[in-house]
Amino acid sequence: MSAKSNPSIKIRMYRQGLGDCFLVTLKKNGSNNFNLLIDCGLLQGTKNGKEIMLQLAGDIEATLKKEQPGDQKPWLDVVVLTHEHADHISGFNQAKDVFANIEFREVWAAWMDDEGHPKYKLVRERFHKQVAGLKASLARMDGEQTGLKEAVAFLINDFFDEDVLGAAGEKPKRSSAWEFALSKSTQPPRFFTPGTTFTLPGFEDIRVYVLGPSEDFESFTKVNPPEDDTYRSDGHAFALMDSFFAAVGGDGDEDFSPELFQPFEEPLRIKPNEAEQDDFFIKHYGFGPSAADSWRQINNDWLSVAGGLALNLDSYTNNTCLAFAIELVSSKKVLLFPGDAQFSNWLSWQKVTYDIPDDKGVKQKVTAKDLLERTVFYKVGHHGSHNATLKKNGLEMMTSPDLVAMIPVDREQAKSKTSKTNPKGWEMPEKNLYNRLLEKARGRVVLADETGVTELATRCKDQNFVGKVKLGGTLVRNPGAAPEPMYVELTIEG
Amino acid sequence: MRSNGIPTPNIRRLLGYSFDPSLSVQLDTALVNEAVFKVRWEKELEKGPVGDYLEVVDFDPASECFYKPVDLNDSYILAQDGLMPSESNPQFHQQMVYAVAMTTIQNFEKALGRRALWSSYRDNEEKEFLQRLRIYPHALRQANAYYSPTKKALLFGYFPASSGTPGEHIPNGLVFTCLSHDIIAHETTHALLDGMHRRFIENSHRDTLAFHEAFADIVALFQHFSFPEVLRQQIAKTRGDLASQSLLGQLAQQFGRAIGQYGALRDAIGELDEKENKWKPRQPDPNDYQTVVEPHERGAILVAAVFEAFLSIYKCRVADLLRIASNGTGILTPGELHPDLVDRLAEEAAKSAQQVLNMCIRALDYCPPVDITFGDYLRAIITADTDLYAEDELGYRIAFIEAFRRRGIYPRDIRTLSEESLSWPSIPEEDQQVIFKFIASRLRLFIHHLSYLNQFPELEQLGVQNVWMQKRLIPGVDKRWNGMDDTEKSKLWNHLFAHQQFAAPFNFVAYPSGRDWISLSEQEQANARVVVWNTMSDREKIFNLTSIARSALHGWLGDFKADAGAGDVQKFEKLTGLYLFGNTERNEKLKGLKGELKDGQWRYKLEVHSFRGAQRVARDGTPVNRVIVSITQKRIVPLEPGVDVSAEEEDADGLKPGTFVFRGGCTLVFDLSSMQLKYVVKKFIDDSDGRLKRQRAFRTSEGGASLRATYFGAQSENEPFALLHSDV
Repeated sequence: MSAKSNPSIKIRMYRQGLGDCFLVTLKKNGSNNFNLLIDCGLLQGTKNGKEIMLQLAGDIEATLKKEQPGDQKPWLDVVVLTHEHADHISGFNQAKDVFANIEFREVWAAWMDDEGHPKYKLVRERFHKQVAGLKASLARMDGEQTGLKEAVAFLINDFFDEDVLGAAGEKPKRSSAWEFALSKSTQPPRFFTPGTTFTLPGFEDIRVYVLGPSEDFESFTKVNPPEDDTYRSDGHAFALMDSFFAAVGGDGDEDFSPELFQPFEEPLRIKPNEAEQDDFFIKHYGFGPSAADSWRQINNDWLSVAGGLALNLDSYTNNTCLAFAIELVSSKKVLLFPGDAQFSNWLSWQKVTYDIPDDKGVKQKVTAKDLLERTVFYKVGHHGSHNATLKKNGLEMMTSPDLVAMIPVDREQAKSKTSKTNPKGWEMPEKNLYNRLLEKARGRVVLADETGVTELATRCKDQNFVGKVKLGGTLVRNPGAAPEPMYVELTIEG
Repeated sequence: MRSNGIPTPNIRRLLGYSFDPSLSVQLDTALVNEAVFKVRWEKELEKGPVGDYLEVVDFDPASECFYKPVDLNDSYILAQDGLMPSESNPQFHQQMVYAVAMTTIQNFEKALGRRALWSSYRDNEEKEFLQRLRIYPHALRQANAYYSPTKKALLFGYFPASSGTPGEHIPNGLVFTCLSHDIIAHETTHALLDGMHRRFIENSHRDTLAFHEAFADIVALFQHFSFPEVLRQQIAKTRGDLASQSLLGQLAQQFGRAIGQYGALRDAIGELDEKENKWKPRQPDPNDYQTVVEPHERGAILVAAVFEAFLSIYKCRVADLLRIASNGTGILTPGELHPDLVDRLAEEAAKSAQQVLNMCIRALDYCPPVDITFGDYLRAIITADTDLYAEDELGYRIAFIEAFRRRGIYPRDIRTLSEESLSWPSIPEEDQQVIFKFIASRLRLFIHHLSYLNQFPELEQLGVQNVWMQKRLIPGVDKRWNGMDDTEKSKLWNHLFAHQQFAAPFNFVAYPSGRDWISLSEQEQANARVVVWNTMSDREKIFNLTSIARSALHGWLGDFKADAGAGDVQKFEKLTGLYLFGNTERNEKLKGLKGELKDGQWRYKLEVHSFRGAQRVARDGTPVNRVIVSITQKRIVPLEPGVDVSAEEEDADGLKPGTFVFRGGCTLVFDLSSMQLKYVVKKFIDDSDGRLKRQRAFRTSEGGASLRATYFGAQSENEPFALLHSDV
């Protein structure tokens, strides 16, 4: 055993914009490198997005070709699809033509994307219902609600592509990027449940731990962290909304029979055109914007719930993230890749344990806490938004003095996501979280939008670390723009 | 008005659910779940119902239809105490919201000793008198109900019961929030509280929204004790031990069950143990106040504290009864209680509940105008009660202090939890100033008019004669006069002026038949004003007089500023925490406080925020007459200290990006018998207590950071309660 040299792990973060794409390379003397691609996406609507992703995929292809022997078709040993948001997978569609030349030996995803899983159908149905319901309510919002409309539209259109949203009158499907990546898997794709742990072929000293998502998917709609939240019962939040979906029109789904959710029998209802002739309603409700008390009308207030639903859907999808950790067994160092997991996903890790045989073959219990305590690399979740890094059961547990972090973020792009009601745009990374990260990692926090190490060198006193952070490749963001580095990378020694 | 000698009824009897429909399908509670609400008889109640305080408008936008308004004066309906409770009849729903909301209003008015007014503020501006709170019983299709401060309306939702754990429901059967006594009482209380303290909806401290929630729950909770049948049944069931699981301590039964959770939404005294599926009383934890953040859960701490205070008071009051009933041992023999004992226990419970509720509502007069904390509220409860009853003969105040202490609720700025230190300090003789006496004596004239609303207030005698105030007294007097029926006018005119009992300016002149306002002589206009005044509702008169008083006080403070010697001004500023005059040093310290240069001096802006009178009678029969005013100031300050925002553009509310409104101010309680200032409850605008720093920290962390805020910005502040109550 001692004859083996310790492997090292190189992590390359691509600089495509607001989105995740990580090429993780395991290196060991005497073996081929083992390459994992974790996500490959860019926020919908990014200017020149397709060209950027084509260049990015081209860089991956060239990198693989350079290190892989002979004339063999270049391959990725593992492609991880953390979740079905465009900013994590769009590249598999945008750069389809390039990826066609790369073999995906094995695709990994979470259990809930496994058609064979007993909960699969329920999960998808609920998801589609929400998407359809939201689209329908967007269509009904009027001028007064521009702020809300903008925000909801952002949440839907920026994170899901046309396939997921479905054309008018069509059932939503899985996104073609997702289908494409999954179908490319040479080995059957693997769908993981938490608690699963294994070592990689040829790299027995590297171990993978699957942390989330929990199979208790009812908890996914929880957005914020209260730990002993006793009165909310989110599993039913979807069902509670059925009457709302029925009213916005759904998409002709038979579950949404509008009549089913009418509160009173037909003869008791007065149609609006009749009410408009009725003295009582003219006096006490008033019709149209010129009525004396028009500011008290409630024609569209009921649609405001769509804002909550859109958030719900966003959190829900983020919580479906495949969250996992990679351990360098001999040095016990841990690299954490939580995708965009939000609080309930993080929290569920605390219930997971692993039985790992030690040198003598005796099984030892490993918990999420152990893994967090030994984390030396953290891929910051959800571009650094405040709710995708758990505090007490997350970042605060990462106590290793060697901790470093990478944030896949484009601050300019996040800031540009302004709306009437949110003139500041999205706060990514969130200030408090970012400051705490800087403290915990002693300034060793790498941001994807920096084109050099100058800023890093000012916030990080560890010059040794700064020296190890390398930028490379060439990205031309817009036709005619000056070329900039394609990626930033660093290596964790075993 | 009837002429056959039968007096107008005092009350209108209306049937409704004492809890909500779910209890009508359970054998043990079905019999007590229908209660008769005794609602004040409103003479001019129209269909809707539309009365003096409320208008129920049944529009269901999601279903694209309206429902016919109920006519509670229909003789068949009158003869049967209103419509029978029914989930399938929208007219009953209208009756239910009306009955419960009116009951809540009545409880409020009873405790405060004055009429309730709704907040008329919109877009940060005071509009004309807003007579009625609007109620939409079927406004939303979601598990939610809320008070909308922007529309001055209650919006109730309905939703399908969850299919997983339908409780007592048919799966997917509809649950109507407008049929739950607790939810209606809760939302109505939000509106009543907003009418009194409009700044309490600002999320400036962990406690502010939680306080709104808790207070609304407290009112809903204690209202249950006014239903004698329910009370007797529950006392018999729990054998007098109200601390064990009883319906009375639970809020919003059906709502809680239907969204898939056993038990009630917010259980004041206990919770369901999820492992054992058994109910357990909740043990107070002194750390709760420090650690629980979510507004409902945080509010639950306050509700639990008040409920515990109630239980101690009740136990104290029934100890003798229990001894009598148990041969002096105080330990009851097993089996059912004697019905007479049940009646007596119920009576004591009802009394204790009413007194606790009164204490909680009265305390509102002694709260700071902005940024309330639970600690402030405890101090307000103790002060309000001390101000009325000097001796705590029955240990009520001790019960409150003890219950708050057990939950770790301490005011920030006091050292011991004794009654003396908790009560706001009374202002000593040496701090009394001429200006206080002046204000008190002038405001007393207004209070007098508020008690005799039929009498036309002569502004000259109130010392506030000016054109603006004349208009404010009867806004749109010309239109009102022109719109009145000629016969009615002439009748009133002759009735008022026929006997020449008035001195100038109301000399008798003949009724100007058929003439519009514009053609009236000055003398006729003076008389016509009195006629119109007599057609206005009492609450509008109160509202208009109140705004005139506030404006007058604003003027007096301005005069005071100009006249008073520097020493007096300083004393006044020190006592009230307000800043009147600026100088370079102060402008630096109070950055963001606006002012103007007048008569060569820089004067800071201030707002007279409220004015109200409270007339009560102490236990020994002495009258306790108070007038309460609150004065506030605001500063626009950057979220991050030291950031220069002078170059940024202001939006419509005068706010710049990266700034927020920091408010300070004081509530002044004057004693009208001694004409002295009795209490000052203040929040420093100069940050001498570090409040600005705390507020910054709050606003940049838990108060601002939510996923919603990341994507939606501050838009949600328009409907603060919509989100708070929503399940999604």
